[in-house]
Amino acid sequence: MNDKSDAHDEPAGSARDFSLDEVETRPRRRSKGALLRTVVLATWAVFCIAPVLWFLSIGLRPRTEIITPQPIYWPTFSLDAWHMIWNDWPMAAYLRNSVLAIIGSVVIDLVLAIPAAYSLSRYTYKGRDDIGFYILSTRMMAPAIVAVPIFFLFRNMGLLDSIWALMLVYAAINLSLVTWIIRSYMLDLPREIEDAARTDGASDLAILMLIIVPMCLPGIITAAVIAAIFAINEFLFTLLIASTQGAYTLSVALANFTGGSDGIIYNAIALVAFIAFVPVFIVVVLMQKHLSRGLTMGAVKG
Amino acid sequence: MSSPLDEGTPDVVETAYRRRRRPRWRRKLFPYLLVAPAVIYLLGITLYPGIYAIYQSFFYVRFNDWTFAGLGNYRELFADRDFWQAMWNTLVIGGFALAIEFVLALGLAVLAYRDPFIRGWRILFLVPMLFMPSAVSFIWKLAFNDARVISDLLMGIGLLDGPIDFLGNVAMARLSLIVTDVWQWTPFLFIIFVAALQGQDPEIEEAARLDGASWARLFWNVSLPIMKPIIAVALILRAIDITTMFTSVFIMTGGTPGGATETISYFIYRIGFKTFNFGYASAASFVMLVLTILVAQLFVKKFFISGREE
Amino acid sequence: MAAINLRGVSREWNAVHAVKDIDLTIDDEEFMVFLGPSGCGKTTTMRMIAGLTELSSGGIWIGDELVNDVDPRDRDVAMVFQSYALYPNMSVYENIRFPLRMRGVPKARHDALVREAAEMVELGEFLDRRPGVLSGGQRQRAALARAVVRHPQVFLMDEPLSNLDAKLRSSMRVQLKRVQRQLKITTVYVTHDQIEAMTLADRVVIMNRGEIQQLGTPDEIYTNPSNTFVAGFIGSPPMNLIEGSVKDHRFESTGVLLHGVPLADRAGVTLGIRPEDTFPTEPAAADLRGQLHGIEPTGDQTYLSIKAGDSLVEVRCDREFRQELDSPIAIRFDPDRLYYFDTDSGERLTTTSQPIMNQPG
Repeated sequence: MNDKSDAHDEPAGSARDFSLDEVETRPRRRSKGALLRTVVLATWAVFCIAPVLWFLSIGLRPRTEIITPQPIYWPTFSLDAWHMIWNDWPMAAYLRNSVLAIIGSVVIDLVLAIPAAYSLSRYTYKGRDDIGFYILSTRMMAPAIVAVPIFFLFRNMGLLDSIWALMLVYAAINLSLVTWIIRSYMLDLPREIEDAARTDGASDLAILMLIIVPMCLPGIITAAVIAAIFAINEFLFTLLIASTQGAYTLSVALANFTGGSDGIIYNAIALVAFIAFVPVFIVVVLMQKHLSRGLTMGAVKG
Repeated sequence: MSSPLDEGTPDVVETAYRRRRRPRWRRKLFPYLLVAPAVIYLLGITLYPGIYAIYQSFFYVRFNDWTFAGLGNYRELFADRDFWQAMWNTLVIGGFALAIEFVLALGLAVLAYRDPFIRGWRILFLVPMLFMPSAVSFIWKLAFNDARVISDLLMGIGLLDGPIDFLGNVAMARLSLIVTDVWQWTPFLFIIFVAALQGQDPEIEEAARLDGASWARLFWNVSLPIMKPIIAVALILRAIDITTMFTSVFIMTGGTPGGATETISYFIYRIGFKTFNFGYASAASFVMLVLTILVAQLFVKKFFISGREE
Repeated sequence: MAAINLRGVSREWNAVHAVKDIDLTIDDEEFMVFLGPSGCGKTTTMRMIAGLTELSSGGIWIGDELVNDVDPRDRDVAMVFQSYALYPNMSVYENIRFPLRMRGVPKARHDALVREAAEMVELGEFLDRRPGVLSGGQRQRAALARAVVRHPQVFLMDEPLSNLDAKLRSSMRVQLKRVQRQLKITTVYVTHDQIEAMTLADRVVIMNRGEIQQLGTPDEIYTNPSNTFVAGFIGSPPMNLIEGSVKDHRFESTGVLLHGVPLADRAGVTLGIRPEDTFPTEPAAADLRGQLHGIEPTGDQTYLSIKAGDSLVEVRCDREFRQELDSPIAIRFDPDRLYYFDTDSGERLTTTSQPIMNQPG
């Protein structure tokens, strides 16, 4: 035993007894702030979901229970609408048109946007900023501005009421967005990889296709998904261009569900809305991570 | 040690190696070629229709009958009460909707971003944005007008004595449009703000807290300045989309009562495709185009520059 | 296999003169190191050799061919990067194979060439992995294999070992040198680490602010620095540079007095002496008298910091040396290892003292 052991004894005159009893007996206090926060967020969540659930219930009830003197909140279950949209209406055609127009427009966009994004992100040349600015500014284009002339354009080309017209229009609307999103992802790529490829002997095109594109795949997919969603949503042009059932998409078909004198067939509309909603929901859940970056065209990295 | 190296490999590799002198101008041209298809496509969809519209705006158009009108359409337009009403409507409805969305989204984002559960909740908050705008318009059309659910609920809470006709009253009609837009698009701003807040360096926040900053001060002096550019971008994008409000007007109100909810997009649609006065509609379109360009010059340059600081 | 010639090579961009008028010949099969601090222009010069950066003026020849206008992919050079720059979407095998594909080497030969390159860097087992799962050292070897596979005329390496930890660095150094010797490829190697330069190079080019400071073998650079920059850059710890003046063949500075200096009277003379050429001694025999400012035993040596006037002089002595801080101390310099420089220009004033190794001829 030497002097050093003294350090471990309690200092003389210590009055405090540190024991664990004290810890366990103190009650857990939940901060008021956290409670308030949860309440607010929960309220908003309810506000978001309630109309959706209600609308779902609209879709699953007989037509007679939709517009009543007193609103009915607990309807009887009925699949009338489901049968109706597939039998009495060309639902399959609407679906097909939507899918084709969307896929077609996204393909057009990717083919045009990927090289453009590469050019804007990886090269410096005179006029690059002006070109970039021009492309960006087409995002600002209100559909109504070009609605009339585009209508005439397609009419003169005989393309009215065709899926091709829709494809071209959707592609034009979304091109700016797709280009800018992909550009944002390309800017993140390390420059040295391109230098390496260049000294390895790759042509510029080979670099783009074999290296840049695979590395940007998340960005390309994000852009494609967002473009697809905006294409599904598109209403004005579709309304003008698709004048007969031939080219109606889901978005505009909704406005079609009227029974003449009976008025609007809401339960059918509700089901169609959900048919469009479900795939979008699934895809967005999968790519949530990239959503904010996509919607702001790269401004937010979230 | 014999290896492929010795077996004439140098020949194989060297003969494969092509010495080629590419002309300098081709190298310079390449980036232009890459971007050309996209630009040409966009020019086709903006320039050509734009010129066509301008041209058409100088004519009175009745089906296939074009009579030269000079500035006649424009004179009529600027004297048209409906036109100015539509501009005003767009401003009022859009302005309120944007303001409400902004405040709500920011408030919710600030509350939500530190919550570890936000991952699961976030998808719930996103749901309104995932429906087709036309579908959303029908949801609220039903709730406000046809099934009078909103009235019913408000009466149930005791806020109302009798059902409100949301189509008959100017303020109420506009309100229904505003609610529709807010419901659908607040999530848009919300996820952007949350992402921006979550992207903050947590150490800055921790340092501020250790320095004794209260929660509110932290937000005001630390988080908000950092978020400013992102807020600007998100607001600009949303503002642009709001001014083109069409779908909900078309489905829910058709411009009633008395044109109080007719936005500028709907105005152009009505003039062009309901009264088939194409020359006039083109004139209105052109005016909107000019406005858009002005706004673009102002705001997009800002976004462009901030986006370029990468 | 080719020599590289640079004549009058310059690079200016946005009023920054990164590289100024470089004249240099890199011999065939030579391992040449570009050494210097950040921003000295060494990487820019190498990139101009690669063709990744354009010349503002001057000419670069690889072999007999003027390559100024030739695209990187048409120059027969291979490059190894600091960050490896492996293609993340391809396996190691595909990474190594890539240059062969791009250069149009007949497919039948690809496999053999790839495997041979992989064997040379001992990466044979990792061929089907992706770069993402490899360690830093493995990635660097993969990058090296990719450079080697097509037997280029020239290797360019941009600080390839900087991202590796110290232990790995020394084993990779050995491997690099071995590969280069075996393949006999002209190599340009850029680094800021003087140890790498000294151990790898056949010749070293020291650069600063876009200009060549000195060109020579590692030994020449070390024992015969041509200016204060080189003298202070090479050697760890660096050479002591003491400013003073010469009068009557005596060098004088605060606390320093040397006799027998072979220079005419002049002010503004900087004396250079390496720490390993200094020794603690009796005050009577001292060249330098000062105060012991710091003492750092490192295990195998002890380093002393001596304060004399405003300057600190580093002295290396054996490990047992101990003395109290702030006590007076006397140091003598090895008279065969003194260097004199002009203080303003930094240029060397005297011819060399004895080199460490015998010079040929």
